[in-house]
Amino acid sequence: MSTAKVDLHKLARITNFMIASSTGAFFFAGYFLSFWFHFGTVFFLMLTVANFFYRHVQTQHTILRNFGVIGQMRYVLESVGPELRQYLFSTDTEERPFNRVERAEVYRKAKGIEGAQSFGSQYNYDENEIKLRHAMFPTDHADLEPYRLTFGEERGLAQAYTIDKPIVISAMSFGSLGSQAVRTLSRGARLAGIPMNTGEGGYPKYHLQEGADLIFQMGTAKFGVRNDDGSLNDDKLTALAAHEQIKMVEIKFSQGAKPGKGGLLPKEKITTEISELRGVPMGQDVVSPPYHVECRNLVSTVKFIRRVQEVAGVPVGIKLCVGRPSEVGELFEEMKRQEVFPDYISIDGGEGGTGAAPKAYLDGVGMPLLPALKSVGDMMVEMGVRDRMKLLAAGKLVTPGRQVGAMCLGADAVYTARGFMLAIGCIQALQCGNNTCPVGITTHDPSLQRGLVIEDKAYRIANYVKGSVKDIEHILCSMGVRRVRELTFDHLYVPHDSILSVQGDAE
Amino acid sequence: MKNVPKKSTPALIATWGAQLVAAGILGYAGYLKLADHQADIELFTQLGMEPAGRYIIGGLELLAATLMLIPQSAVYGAILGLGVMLGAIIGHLTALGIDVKLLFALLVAALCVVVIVIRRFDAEFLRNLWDHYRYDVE
Ligand SMILES: Cc1cc2nc3c(=O)[nH]c(=O)nc-3n(C[C@H](O)[C@H](O)[C@H](O)COP(=O)(O)O)c2cc1C
Repeated sequence: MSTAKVDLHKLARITNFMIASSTGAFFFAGYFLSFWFHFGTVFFLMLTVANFFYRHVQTQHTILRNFGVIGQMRYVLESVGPELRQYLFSTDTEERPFNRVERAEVYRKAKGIEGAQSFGSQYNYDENEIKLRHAMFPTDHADLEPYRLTFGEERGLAQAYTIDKPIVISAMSFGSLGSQAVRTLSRGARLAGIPMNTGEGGYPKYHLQEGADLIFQMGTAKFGVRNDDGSLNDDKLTALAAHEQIKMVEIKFSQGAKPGKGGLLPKEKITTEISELRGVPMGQDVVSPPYHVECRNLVSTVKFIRRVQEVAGVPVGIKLCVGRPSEVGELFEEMKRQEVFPDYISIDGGEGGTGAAPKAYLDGVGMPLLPALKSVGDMMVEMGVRDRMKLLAAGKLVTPGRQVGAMCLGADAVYTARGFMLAIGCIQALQCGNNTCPVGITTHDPSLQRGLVIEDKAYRIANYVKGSVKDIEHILCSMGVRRVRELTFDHLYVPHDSILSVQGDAE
Repeated sequence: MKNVPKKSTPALIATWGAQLVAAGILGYAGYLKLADHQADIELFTQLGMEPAGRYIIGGLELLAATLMLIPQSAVYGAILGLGVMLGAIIGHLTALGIDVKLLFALLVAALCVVVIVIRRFDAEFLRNLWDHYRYDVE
């Protein structure tokens, strides 16, 4: 089909010629007819000069070099593009990482609004999406077993920790979040009756403030419990774990947003407070290595888990993003050999979120949650370690459909970070790393934090949890089971060409 | 605005010096025009723009002077000031003849250019006129 196509290059050439010649034309009109025309002379003269600079002086913008001032239009459009797309042009299922339908569902739950929708699904239903299978004979709600998950029961731990809702707030450090957001989440966690992971930001001062149960996360730099060389300081961990609110400790090996990548805390960011909480000196950069210095092979890794369990006294879990399922298998093998098992293992999907990570890692490194979780879950059963530890999962598990899906793949409970950010008002402005978060969550700027009112938003957490648990329970009933652990892979409808039907890893 | 490089102290002193002098001259000239100063009336009669042209130009001069005194808008004031001065220069060269007022117009135009160059990062379309980013290797 031939259509009249706008030849931009030609149009630009004509425009550029017109601008220059208009200057001359207006000048003559100003000279011979009326001085008023010189308004035009001046305008086009300045435009001509600007055009000259765009086309011949600057060298960094190809479009401006080639097209001149009308090329500038492109930059104007580009700079307002994200807003235009979000507000005007994007369909409800188009945005990433969370589309409007998903976000709206979280917002609704957080505000305590019922989630009924009319007429039909917004999704492209025939696409290769995984669905849940309901049963011909659903369970009566009254017959559901109350949810209970006890960490540390396998080891008969005196300080075993029980949760009664299958949703936990995933790791977000103070630092990536502002203090206001941390306090909101932690107060919300207390109201909702769920624990909250502290993230690897060191001593959880703001997390503790609002009285929530905490899972203390130990990153590779071991902020808050480190020696000066970045190794674990047993005494500091013992002291911290003795705190009444700290119910579990989590050793982070890797996270989905940047698996296998360390980090650098630049000295400019180390305020007195950060230095104190993280236990690092001021005035010099601090390196987060990509691994724990204690863990350089399978044997030392499992030994380290044992050591942390002994030092902490509370249940100890590990968090990792899967690169190669076989490596996890080898880890299980070594655990069996040493008779040492963490109290839970949490699988983070490659789609995980973060405050800031190199784009290459966000987009391209790490197995996506569903296949990774399936590999690990299956392996645990095959290797006979399924009843030695609990299995948790994270990776965009913000809506009940996907949450129950993860449970079918073996998860005992789900972790989510961004789900809770959305619940307290995240609008996905994608500025977490810039200190300019417009809704005051990932910023330390008080003038932006003032918009985030703890009293109000903490209830959104409680509502979000309540609504999600209710949906999960209803779905369990529809699927004809009485508890989460009865769910299996067979409860999933997996289309032929979905991410789960081909086992991505041909090892 | 994001990623605006810090201006060095000498650059800040230069731009503020230029802004103050230019704003002073523009403001005074604008005031005289709006106050029906006799010389201006004659000048605009000569250009055939009396009185509307005199009021418009006077108003623009005052506006440019005001914008130039506010940090956030100084660069826009300078662009406006430069435009008005270009008009004045054209006027002197083509109709009014060369006199001391032409010198003032040239001076103010030059000061406006100084402000625009130093403050080119304050407006997106200006910063693109020059090469403006460094390639940071981390
Ligand atoms: C702002 C922010 C900060 C995070 N900080 C940490 C952290 O300190 N340690 C960690 O292991 N994971 C961290 N994560 C990753 C989350 O805990 C979670 O694993 C990941 O986002 C996947 O869950 P989601 O899809 O529900 O967000 C962070 C995520 C976000 C969004």
